[in-house]
Amino acid sequence: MDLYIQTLLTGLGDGAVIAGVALGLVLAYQGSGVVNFAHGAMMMYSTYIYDELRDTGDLVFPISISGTDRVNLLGSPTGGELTAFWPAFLIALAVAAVIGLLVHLLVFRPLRGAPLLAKIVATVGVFIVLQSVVLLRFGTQNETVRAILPTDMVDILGTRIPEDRLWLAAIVVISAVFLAAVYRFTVFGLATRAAAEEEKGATILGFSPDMLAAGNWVLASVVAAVFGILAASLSNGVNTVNYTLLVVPALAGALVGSLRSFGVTAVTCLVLGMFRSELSLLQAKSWWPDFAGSGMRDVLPFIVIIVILFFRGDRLPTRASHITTRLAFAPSPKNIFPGSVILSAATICGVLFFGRALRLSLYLSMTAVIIVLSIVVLTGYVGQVSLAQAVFAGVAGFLLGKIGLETGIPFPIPVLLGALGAVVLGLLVGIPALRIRGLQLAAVTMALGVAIGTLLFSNRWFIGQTGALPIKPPDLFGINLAANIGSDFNRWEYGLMLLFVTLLCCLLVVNVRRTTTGRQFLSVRANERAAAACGVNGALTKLQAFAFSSFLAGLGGAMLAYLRGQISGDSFSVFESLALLAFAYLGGIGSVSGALVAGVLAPGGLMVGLIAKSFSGDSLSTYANLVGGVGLILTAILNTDGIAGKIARDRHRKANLKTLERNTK
Amino acid sequence: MKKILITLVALLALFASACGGGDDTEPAASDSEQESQESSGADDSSNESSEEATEETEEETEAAASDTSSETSEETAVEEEEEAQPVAADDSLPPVRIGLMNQENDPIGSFPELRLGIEGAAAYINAELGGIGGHPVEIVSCVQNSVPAAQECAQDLASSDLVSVINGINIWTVAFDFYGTMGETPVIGGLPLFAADYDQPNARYFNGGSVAVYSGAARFVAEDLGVKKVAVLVNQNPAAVAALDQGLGPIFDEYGVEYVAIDVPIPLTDAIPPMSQAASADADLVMLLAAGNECVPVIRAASQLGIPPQEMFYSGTCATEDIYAEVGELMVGSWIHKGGYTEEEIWAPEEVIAEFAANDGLIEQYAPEAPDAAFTGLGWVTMMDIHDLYEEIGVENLGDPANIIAVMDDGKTRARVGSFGWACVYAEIGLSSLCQGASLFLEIAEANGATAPPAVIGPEGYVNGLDLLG
Repeated sequence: MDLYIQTLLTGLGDGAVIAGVALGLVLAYQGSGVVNFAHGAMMMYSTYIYDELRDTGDLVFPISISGTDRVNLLGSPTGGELTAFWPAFLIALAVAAVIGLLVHLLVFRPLRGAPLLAKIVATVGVFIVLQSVVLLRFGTQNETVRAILPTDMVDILGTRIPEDRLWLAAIVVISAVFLAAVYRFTVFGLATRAAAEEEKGATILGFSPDMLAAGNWVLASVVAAVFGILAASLSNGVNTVNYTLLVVPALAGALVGSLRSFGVTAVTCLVLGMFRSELSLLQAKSWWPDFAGSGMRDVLPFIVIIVILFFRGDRLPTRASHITTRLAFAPSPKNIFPGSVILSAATICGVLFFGRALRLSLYLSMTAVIIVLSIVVLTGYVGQVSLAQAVFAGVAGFLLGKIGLETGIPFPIPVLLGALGAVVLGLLVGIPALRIRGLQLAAVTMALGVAIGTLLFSNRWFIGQTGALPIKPPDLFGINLAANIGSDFNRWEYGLMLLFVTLLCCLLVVNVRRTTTGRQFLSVRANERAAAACGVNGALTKLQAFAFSSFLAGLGGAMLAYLRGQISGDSFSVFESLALLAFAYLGGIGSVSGALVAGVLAPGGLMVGLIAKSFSGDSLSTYANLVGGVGLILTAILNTDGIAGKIARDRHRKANLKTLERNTK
Repeated sequence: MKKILITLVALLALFASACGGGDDTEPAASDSEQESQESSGADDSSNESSEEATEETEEETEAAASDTSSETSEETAVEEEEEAQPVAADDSLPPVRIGLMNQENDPIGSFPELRLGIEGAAAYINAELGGIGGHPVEIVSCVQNSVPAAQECAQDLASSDLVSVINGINIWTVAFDFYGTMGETPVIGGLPLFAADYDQPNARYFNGGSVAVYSGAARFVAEDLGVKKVAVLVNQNPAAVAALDQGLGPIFDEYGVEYVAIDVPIPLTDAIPPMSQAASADADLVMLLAAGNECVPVIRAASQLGIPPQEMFYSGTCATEDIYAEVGELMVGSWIHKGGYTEEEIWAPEEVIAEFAANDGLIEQYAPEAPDAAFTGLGWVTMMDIHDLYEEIGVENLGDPANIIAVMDDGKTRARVGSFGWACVYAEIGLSSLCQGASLFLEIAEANGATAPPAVIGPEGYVNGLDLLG
């Protein structure tokens, strides 16, 4: 029994780190209506700054200034000693404050009037930028951080736990009380709450929403830095991965607190940490089911999120904004025949005449197009933000592999069965969507992605003994459609099959958009109540969209599996889903042409292939991630319709003007 | 730190000389040398009691040493003269092109030091060892940071008319059919990270991956430490689980050692919960395996929970200057895995120390940009292994990949990796691509990581777990 209590109590440390991220999430959301998926990355960056200050006394700049990337502020410690704690700590907090301010001023302030999706994409951009800067400045090696809080063991409830866990829990509670007091008793806090409830009213009263948002971003960043630094010694120090993943459990805590209550958020996170810790113990027990033998601590937040959102989703507040956001442009495709023929012909030429490397890029682009089409349907047409599309693709890929290897069912049936498996999963995810949408749904699907990734993609009963599942090559009427045979890479036979599937998916989506179903999709996106008043069954429409979307994602996953010849879970993480969503947004999330553009821009796609041919050398690859992240942010800010969306909207506007002129004359 | 890297190279030379007088400049070991190495390697596979095994290995090593000393005594002076005269490769000859695929510029993990080590070793080989058979070595590098990039890299390398490809550190190769892509181009050297790397017809690694370390650790724990119950802290990723099932489990079962596997989650936000479980398992020993970044928090947690250092066993990744600086005092008395002698083995044989000194500065000279990191040494040693192997095979025979695989699979033990030889002799147990089963396990004696000498010093002191499998 002591062990259970001890394990439960030591989970306070885990909970405190999660709370550090969650309190920051609440602050950022209250201040600007952004759920910052990059908050763990901000925590990571500040902790790296602190660690370097203590190790070397140097403050590291994110970019080189006049050829130098650091300045010594605290002397140079020798003989394994560290610089003094407080100066390093305070400088790190100051840096965190500057980061928070810059993130607001440069990224989210320009995005105030942008749709939710633009903000999500921007947070992905911030995430990539911070991770890339850390890679460039500190490398990827783990940095150990010396303990700051006392680590002696103390007796409590008949067991012994390290003192620092109690300290951290106390600091979480104090921080929550402090923030709650700020929000209740200070002008800044009251104004922030007022702006969150009714931004226009707060503006009329003389408060600047920008200033309030800036203050909250600074606070959010500093809070994350405090807990990142204090808790680093509990974990494995700091590296480019560990803190960034904490945003999922933190989101669970923040949602329980309705993205508003610091107290509830803090307590939830502490309890979540304790239960995560306890689950680690329970899953090692002999009676615990084998299929859930690891990773249950990652599944718990998913369960919490699902339960909370399903039962409280409609009561969760949506932050107010006096700027009206416009929905992604989703034009009804007209006269697609010439475009289809030209693009297909061009693709066939590429399949037949491109070099090997460019052919691979072309094929990766086409698989990305199929998966992005699933996002166009679900997010572009129906307004449901899903961060699990890569997971749907992965499930289909693994099912395809298992069916092909274990049953010998001939092609193309395994492809369809794999995609149908994805549909089943999609419908499961779609059930919470009957009650929630937007941000809440994004949270559910993200948590689902992590949970599925943990339960399925790391379990050998699903992915095979070696962690990598070989894919049986497709064969139709004696024609080998494998992507690679020996040294014959990226074969044209596979390319033509892929083109056929891609074209089929594009035409399917185009036709859905043109039909009554498509119009029902758009009506649900625009206003569910109005749609219901017009006789549209919102629940059925959403489930239809989830089923169709996951089927498309499944087809994309299957095609990708054939291209790779072997798959593992690494390719289908929730961060892959985030990247796909970001590229879908860049291309233009409301149309098939947007999916085509996204496919060209996707990782490893045609754009990358062409750039790689134009440039060579280390500098490109060294800075590619950083440039990509900055590009993502800029596009989210400057072009909220995406590339194809902007072209379509401009064309639409010109056509309207012409009509107007004609009528005037 | 670079001394540590040098030691790996030095150790190879030491082992080669101890087993037959080979040195860095010799193109290939003689048959008699190889036989003596092989016999030494066979000692490791003995399943007898440790004392008997020790006695036997001592006797045989002495015999091998006397044999080789008599055979090579007359050649020694000539060889030393040759050593003093570096021989550059003949640039007019066509190069021996060797590919390298490595993961760099990836936030998940970036390892440029491995490439720098390989390129530095190639420069050294070209400048001082006469290349391979007089032909200069050319490294064709391809770096990747994603699955698409890795697949393109593999296709590029497979289409580049290379003798072989080194699979550096690549976590994305598991996400596509890497070995199928390489096809006729053999994968020789690198790091086998995944279970899928262990048994490939066109791949041979000079080390044994996790499964070799796990099985060796199990054998050491069972035979030398004599424990009966073990708690194993390990991240339950597919590769680690495979190594547990294939390497550690069977040997513990054979020795009747009970073990409990405890999941170390990633990200690890607190090491106390898994350590509490380990403490509650009532085990004689707690083993931390496949540790990446978990060493420091786990060591601290063990101390906080009152687990004595003598009951802790750490993987080799915990043997770094940073970790000793942080928690070295808490590690004194614990057991640790080593890939070979390092500067922390202050008791190492005189020949090793002498080699340390003789080779000091070599990596700094030929790989000046390489950081002080373990993977720099791995890259250097891998390239040196390839040099020796290809010298032995002969440049004229390298065109046919079957020749390379056939020589590696001939059952002979060759020197050059770590401080013990390699031999690709594990095909029967489904580990055809792994060529080394031996590992070194030591007790940490001081807070700076200095270790205590084992009961048996030298190559005989290594533990081979793979020999017990199957």
